[in-house]
Formats: sequence, C-alpha cells, structure tokens
Amino acid sequence: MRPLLHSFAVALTSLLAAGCLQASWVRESRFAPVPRAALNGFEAGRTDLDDCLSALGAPLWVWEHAEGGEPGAALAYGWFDERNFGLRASVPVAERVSVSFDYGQIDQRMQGVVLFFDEGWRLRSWRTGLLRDLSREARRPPAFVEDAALEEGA
Amino acid sequence: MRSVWLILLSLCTPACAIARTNENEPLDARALHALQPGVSSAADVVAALGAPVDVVQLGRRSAYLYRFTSSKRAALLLLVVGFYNQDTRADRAWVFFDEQQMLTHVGVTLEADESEYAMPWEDLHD
Repeated sequence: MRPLLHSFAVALTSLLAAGCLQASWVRESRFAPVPRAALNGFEAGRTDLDDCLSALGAPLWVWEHAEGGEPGAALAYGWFDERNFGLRASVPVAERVSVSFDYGQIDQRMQGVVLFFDEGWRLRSWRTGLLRDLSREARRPPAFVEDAALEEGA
Repeated sequence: MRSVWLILLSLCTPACAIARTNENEPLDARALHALQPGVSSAADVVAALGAPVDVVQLGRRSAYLYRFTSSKRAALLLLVVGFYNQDTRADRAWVFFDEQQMLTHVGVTLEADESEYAMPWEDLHD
C-alpha cells in the first residue's frame, strides 16, 4: 500500500507543480557558421568584396567604417548555436503579482567575423570573436563627417 | 497498481507544439541572378525586388538589404520538464551601389528553407 501512496503522491505533486515549476532544455540556433577555410583564403590588400561575397554569401550587417581617416566599410557575419538547461520557478506572492526566478536565460552571444574594406572594396583586415564586441569597437563616426573631410581634401 | 501507472502514464503523455514564424517575403532567386553589376541601377533593383528592409549609406555609396527570415520552433512538454528548440535561417541579399546608384556588387545567401523543427538534442545542419 505504501508504494502505491508514494506513486500517487509523486504524480499529484508533479501535477500541482507544473504551473509554477518548470525545468527546461532549450536550444536556439541562428544562421549558418562562417566556414573557417574561407577566411584562411583571404589576404588583406588582395582579396576584394566580390571574393568575400562569393565565399561567405551575404553578411548580416553592413556599416560605414573609417580607418586612419580613410573611408571604408565593414561587413559583419554572425551565427549562434546555444544549448541551455534551466529551472524556472514562479510563485504568486500577492494578487496579480508574481515573482519569477529564471535560470534558463539563453546566452545571446553571437559569434562572428567582421571584414573591413577600404574605399576601393579591397579587404583591409578582419576580426573574429563575439559579434557584439566586434561591432561595438568597429563603429566609427557617421558618414557626413567623412564625406565632409573628403570634400575638403578634394 | 496497474491503474496508478496508467494514471501516471496519462499525466505524462507528452504535449507538443510546433510553430513557424516568417518575416518578410521569400527572396526571388531568379530576380537576384538577373541583376548585373555595372548594368542594373538602383531603380532596376527596386523594380525587381521591391523595397529593401534596410538602406545603408557608405560615404557616397550605398547598400540595400533584402531579407526573408524563417524560424521553426518545436516544444515537448512533460509536466515539469520542457524541451524547446528554435532554428532560424534567412535568405539575405545585399546589393551595393556606387555614387551614380549603379549596382557594383551583389551578395546572396539563400538558406531560409533549411530551417528545421527539431529537439534540442538533435544536431542540425551538420
């Protein structure tokens, strides 16, 4: 009789806990990784935009990038593939108020590569790593600043 | 005892869900391949592909982005344990223009139809 009661208690507890306790295994993948072999074939000063687009396809983002006063552009490729185990508990503490503790937040870090081009669309350099960090440090002054500088020099 | 196990089994009977989210319209591969650098203008590109989702100014040049994103989500819920998977792939095309708004470069990635419904332990795209 005792095992029967035990099983029943486990079933009942699980049923009652389903609304406020949730263990999860979450996976999220976004976009295809950049092939490392393609990057190895790149050569700064020789590889151009057509070569990069042929090898890597379309980037996720494009933005203007000036380096050493020279106008240019940056192309960013990124991908994401994370698996996470989590436990989420939600406990009502007052009417219409609940407290949630979520340990299953998916890490949103996206791996990537940023390619830097000069004005003639020649590859200057490239960097790999976390795309968020790469794009933050690669962002440069807005277009009109460089445009004005060009006109002054012309 | 058997009835208890039956109750347990019925309580644990999996609930599953799948969902698909698309953003924008699929890209027309034929229209993209018909674009010719040095020949096609920005007006030709817009006539063929419609309005871009983003326009980036690159000094005196510019680039347009066309993008179609497909996300597939699958979930398996077992009372207090849940398994979730989301796979996102996109068709993307960046078209680059010179100062005269003539097409200079085209970059295309077509992989939106490769997104899959799966469980987190499955290896996709390997």
